[in-house]
Amino acid sequence: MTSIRLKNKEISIIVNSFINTFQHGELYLFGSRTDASRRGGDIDLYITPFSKTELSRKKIDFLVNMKKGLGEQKIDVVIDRNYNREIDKIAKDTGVLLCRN
Amino acid sequence: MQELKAVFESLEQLFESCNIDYNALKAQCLSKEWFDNYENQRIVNSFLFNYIKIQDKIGAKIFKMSLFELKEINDWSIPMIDILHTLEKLGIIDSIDEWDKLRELRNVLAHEYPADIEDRIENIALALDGFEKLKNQFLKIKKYCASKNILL
Repeated sequence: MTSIRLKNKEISIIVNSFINTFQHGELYLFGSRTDASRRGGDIDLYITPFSKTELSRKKIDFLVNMKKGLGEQKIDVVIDRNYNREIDKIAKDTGVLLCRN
Repeated sequence: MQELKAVFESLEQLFESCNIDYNALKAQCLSKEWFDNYENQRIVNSFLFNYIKIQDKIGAKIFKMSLFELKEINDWSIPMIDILHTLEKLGIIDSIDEWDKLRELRNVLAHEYPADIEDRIENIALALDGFEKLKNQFLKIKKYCASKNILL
């Protein structure tokens, strides 16, 4: 987790929002924020939820909840729905685990 | 004031068009099979196109222009959060949280992967609820403006 480009406070806000909204599952950070040599960039999050119900509503609640703490910024949330798309593969292969609950 | 009136009128037209698709979608049981028919996809696309336009117009124009005419604000560069606080105080929006959710939904709809049908179906269901909320907020602000005689 040392190489990810998020402050501890930001991680804490993201993880708490995840637990409040999805309760159980895994949360990963992937994309440019896992590359210490880059600057800025979106926050790309990947979620493997334990429960697969109401995922779209939960995604919106999660985004609103996070932005209350983080302020307005570009955050992309991808949810694992067992589609096995290219984005799922990238996130699973390169993502850094932020929380498993 | 004429400009505000014109924006209200254009929104009414958008609501009218969107309502046709809304009724068509509410009458359906959305499923993967239903999406296989391209005519059905056209209804969804038409609904979402107008939905996003309505959301944008309310958020970017109606809220700010109305508060300006109501003399609740006097600066066009006021941050959105202050506009929302004022609207909440006046009882025009039920809560800032609800508006934030509508705004996030709008962004999700604009960036969804068209191939993720399950995702799309859930998003459409949220947008149908969102449409009701937008209509309610539109009627509330219109009523409020009319009661203060700024839509004459």
